[in-house]
Amino acid sequence: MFSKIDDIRKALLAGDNSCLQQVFDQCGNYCIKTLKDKYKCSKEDAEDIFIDSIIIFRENVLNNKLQVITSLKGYLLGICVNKYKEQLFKENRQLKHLDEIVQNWYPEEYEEDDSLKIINNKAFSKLSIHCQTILKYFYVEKISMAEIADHLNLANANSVKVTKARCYKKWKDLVEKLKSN
Amino acid sequence: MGLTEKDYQLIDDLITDRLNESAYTSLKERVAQDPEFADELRRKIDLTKAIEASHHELKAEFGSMLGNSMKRKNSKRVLLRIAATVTLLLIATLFLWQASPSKNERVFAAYFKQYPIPANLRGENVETNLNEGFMAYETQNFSKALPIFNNSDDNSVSIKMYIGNCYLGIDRPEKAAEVFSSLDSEEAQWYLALTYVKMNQINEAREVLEALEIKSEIYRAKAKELLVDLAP
Repeated sequence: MFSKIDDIRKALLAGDNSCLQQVFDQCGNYCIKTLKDKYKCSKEDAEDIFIDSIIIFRENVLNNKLQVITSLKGYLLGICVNKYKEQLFKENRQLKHLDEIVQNWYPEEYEEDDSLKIINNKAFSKLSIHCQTILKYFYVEKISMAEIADHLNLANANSVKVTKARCYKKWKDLVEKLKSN
Repeated sequence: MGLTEKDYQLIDDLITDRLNESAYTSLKERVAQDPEFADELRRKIDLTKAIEASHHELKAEFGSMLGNSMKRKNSKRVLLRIAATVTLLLIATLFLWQASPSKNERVFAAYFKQYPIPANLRGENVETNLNEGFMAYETQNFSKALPIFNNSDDNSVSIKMYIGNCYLGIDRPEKAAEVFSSLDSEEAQWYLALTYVKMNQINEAREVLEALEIKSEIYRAKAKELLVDLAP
C-alpha cells in the first residue's frame, strides 16, 4: 500500500528523499519496460527518463500540484512519456548546451571558482521549491513562460516572468549574503 | 549606465538559446564592451550551472535508488529462479521416486512366479470355458481369465490359486489376499506372503513366512531367504 501523497510531501519537505524508494520499487520496472518496449528507448535512456520523471514527480508533490493519485504507475508513466516526447523535440531543435554558450562567450576568461560555485549551489538549494522549479524549467529545461504557467498552475506567462525575476533576485541576494559570511 | 529590461531579456534569450544569428553577433560586441552586461550574463550562467548541479545531484541520488530497486528486483528474480529450480528438482525426485519401484515391489518381483498350470489340467476332459481361461491366463490376459475362473463350476484349490494370481495380475492384491487366505495350503500361504509384500504389509508377510519356515518343507528355504530380504 502506498503512503499518502501528503506523507510523501511531509518527508520531502523535511529533506528526506528516501520516501521515494517505494516509488522506484513499485513503478520503476513498469515505466522502464514500457519505455523500452513501446517507445523503443535504450535501457540507459529509459532509466534516465524515469529518473527525470521522479524528479518531476517530486517537484509536483512539493509544489502541491497533486493531492490524490488513483494510479501512481499510470501517473508516472504519463510523465515519462511526456519527458520522452520533450527529449525528442529538444533533439530536433538541437539546442545549444550551456557549456557551448560559455565557450562562445567566455573562451578563456570563464574559470570556475570553486568557492563561488559552492556558494552559488548553496544559495540555489536555499530557494523555495517553487523558485527552484521555475528557474530550472526556464534556464535548464528551456521551457517557455506560457508552458511553465501551465505546468505550475500559474495565471499566465507574465506571472511566471514576475516570479522568475523575483526568484532570481532572491538567489542573487543569497549569494551576496553567503559571500559576506 | 544600468541594464534595461530588454538587456535582461537578451541575456535570458542567450542562455535559453532563443537568439537569432544577427542578435547573437551584436551581443558579442556588447559583452566585450560593457562589463556590467558581461557580469550579468556571467551571473546568469552561474545560476544555470547551479541549477544543473542541483539537478545532477538529485539525479545521482535517484540513480542509486533506482539501482537499489533493480538490485532488489534482480535478487528477488534470482531467488525466484532458485525456488523454481528447487521445486522442479523436488517434483522430478518425487516423480522418479514414485515411478521407480519401491523396495517391496522389487522383492515381490524377484520372488513372484505366476502359479503354473499343469499339463493334466488342459485338454479334452476340461470344460471348454476353462480351457479358454487357461489360455488367457498363460498369455497373462488376466482380466479375461478371471471371470472364466470365477464362473467355473470347478471350486478346486488350483482354480482358486489361478483366481488369486489373476487378482495379482490386475493389481487387486487385497482381493488376492482374500482368496489366498481362504485356502489351507502351503502354496497359498506362500502367495499370501508375497501378496502382503506387494501390499507393503510386511509384518503380516513376516508372520506367514515364519509359519512357513517352521512347517513347510518346500517353502522353508524360500521363506527364510525372503525374511532376510524383508529385514529392515
